[in-house]
Amino acid sequence: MLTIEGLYKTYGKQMAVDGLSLHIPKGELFGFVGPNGAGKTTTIRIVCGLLKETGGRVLIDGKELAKEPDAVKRCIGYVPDFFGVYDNFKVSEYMEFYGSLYGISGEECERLTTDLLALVNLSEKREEYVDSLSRGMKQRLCVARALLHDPALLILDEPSSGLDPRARVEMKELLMNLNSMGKTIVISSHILSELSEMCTSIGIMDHGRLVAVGKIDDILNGGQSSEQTREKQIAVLEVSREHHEDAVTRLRQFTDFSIESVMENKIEIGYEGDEVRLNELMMEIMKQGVILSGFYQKRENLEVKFMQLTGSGEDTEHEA
Amino acid sequence: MKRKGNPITRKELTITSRSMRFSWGLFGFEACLTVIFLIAIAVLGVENRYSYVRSNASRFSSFIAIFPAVSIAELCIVALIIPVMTATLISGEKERQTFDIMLTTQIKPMQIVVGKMMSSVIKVMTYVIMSIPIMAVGFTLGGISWWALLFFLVFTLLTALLEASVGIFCSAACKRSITSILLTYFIMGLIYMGTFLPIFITALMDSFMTVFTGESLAMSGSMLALLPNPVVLFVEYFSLALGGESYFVKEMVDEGLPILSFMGEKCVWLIISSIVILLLSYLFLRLAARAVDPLRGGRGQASKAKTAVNYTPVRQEESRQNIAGGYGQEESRQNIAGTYGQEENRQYTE
Ligand SMILES: Nc1ncnc2c1ncn2[C@@H]1O[C@H](COP(=O)(O)OP(=O)(O)OP(=O)(O)O)[C@@H](O)[C@H]1O
Ligand SMILES: [Mg+2]
Repeated sequence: MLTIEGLYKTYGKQMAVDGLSLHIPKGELFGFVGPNGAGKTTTIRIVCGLLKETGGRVLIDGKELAKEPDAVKRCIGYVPDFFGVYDNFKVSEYMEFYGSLYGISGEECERLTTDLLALVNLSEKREEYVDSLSRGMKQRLCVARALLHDPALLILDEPSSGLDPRARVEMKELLMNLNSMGKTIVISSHILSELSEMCTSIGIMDHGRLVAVGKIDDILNGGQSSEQTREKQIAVLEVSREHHEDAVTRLRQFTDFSIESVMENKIEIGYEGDEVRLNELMMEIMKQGVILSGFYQKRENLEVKFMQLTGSGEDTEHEA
Repeated sequence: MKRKGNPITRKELTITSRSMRFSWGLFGFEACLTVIFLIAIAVLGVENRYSYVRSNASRFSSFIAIFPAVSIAELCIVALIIPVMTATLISGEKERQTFDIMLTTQIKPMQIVVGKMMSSVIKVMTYVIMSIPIMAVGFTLGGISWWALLFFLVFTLLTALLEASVGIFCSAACKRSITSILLTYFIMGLIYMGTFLPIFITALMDSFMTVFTGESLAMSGSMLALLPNPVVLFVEYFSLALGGESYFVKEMVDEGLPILSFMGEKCVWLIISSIVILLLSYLFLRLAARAVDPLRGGRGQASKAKTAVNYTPVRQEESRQNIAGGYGQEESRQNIAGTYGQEENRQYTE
């Protein structure tokens, strides 16, 4: 679907994208992760034809962006990271306007608008002014807009920045829904764990380079699964307030694990081993009369991994 | 119902028609013209009172002067407001990134630019057409043909086209709207006044020549530089409409300029000048389309360099903070990782 070959982009002396090569097959939900300034937005803008690359090629469906920009643009729906809307413009007019920019008009546009607004849950806002919508609604409207011309590839730059948790979940569901409808989706984000829940594969970017790419589990394990079990794992125990003190005193008596931190209704313990080991430990704990309302293994590995992968360029940054 | 026309023009006009600013602008415009009209009448009245010949005929024929007075005022206002109107048309959309969205659609940069230009021309022409009743008084009193009014509108349209095209170009080339306005005024100043420079130089050389050699230089060649100048177009038009004499063509035919002599018609200047103005507008639109097209090296290297200055320090600051917070100290790394994971987990289990 999307192939990037040796992409370079420099702003003056600064290297924003440094020899990026990537292939995203059809039907993927691909996540682009990286810290601020990693070059995600730059890459996305180049792919959408909004920025001229310094070197390299972008191919979509076998068509080269530089040679057939119009054909390529027809395959892409783009949702920018920050966007404004026009004042004094209604939702239906907004859709009609962008429809006419794609050469869709009249009844077909009406029909598409109805369908897409229903898809993004904005049907009842149809006759409201665009600038009166909340941020999450605007974002969903922008997704609906990007789908007007039925693109095979949907590219979203940080779709969940500035959204509250509920809107994030809604956005996530919307994207997974679209993905199951057969759209290839590329999204960028700072937050790895957020992407890991929905993406089929991810690419981690830092200083303009891809430091890791593939399925989430592959990246996490990275051929060091035996080592991983020896690392200290963190589990979170949920304890209701009335049993809290009692639980802490009881837990202190264990030697199989250490108490990492104690919060109002959560206790974090560090242990060694895999999930089976965790379950065993929990049995032990409950046998000792600690009343838990729940427990889970903390997915900190993702973040630690992310920090490790993206931290490597730190020194070069200071030199630059 | 399939709607035709440039979608961008349609969008701009929909938005404009809903804002109060347009109505207030219209009100202000007409109010200004009315005041000028009343002043003109008052001045004429005073003149008539003290003139020696006091026949009714001369009193009315002097009202003919109201027409150029009001129309020149109108032109000046048009020349002043178009740059303000167009300044934010492109830079404003770039700020909201709606421009980027537009560029990812099937629409061509040239269509965007033309659509924007048309919307501001239509707005201004609405102002002008609304003021016809005020002008009509001058007509009926002064006895000018309705054709003259039609041509006045055509030439105003041409001026508006040129102004708007230059304005759009500046809006595409400048980041801030104030620089865009100033640059438009500057370029229009060049067209309005700079085109007199060749004549000025020729006249200067002519004076020297007469002093030293006794010969005189032909002026008409340097007059051609005035063709793109709407002010000159209007001067020619007024002299034709009011007195029936063409100043420029006569001068050139007298001096025997070959291109013009075979067309020795009265309105030849008007026609050629109109064509030149149209071509110049087209040129500016092309430049504007080029400036906004990212794939043709557009968006100006210069403006990119400027953003780099503003942009980079902020970004670096951000990423420094990230580094300090994220992986600066060993223990804080764990903590941050911890809270991150937790927060995400909580959000999704809700
Ligand atoms: N217009 C520009 N002019 C100069 N430098 C730029 C410009 N845009 C981006 N950069 C630089 O390019 C690098 C990559 O920026 P980019 O916006 O692609 O990062 P990002 O991964 O999207 O970051 P974020 O997570 O903050 O959105 C940064 O170092 C930035 O300073
Ligand atoms: Mg970004």
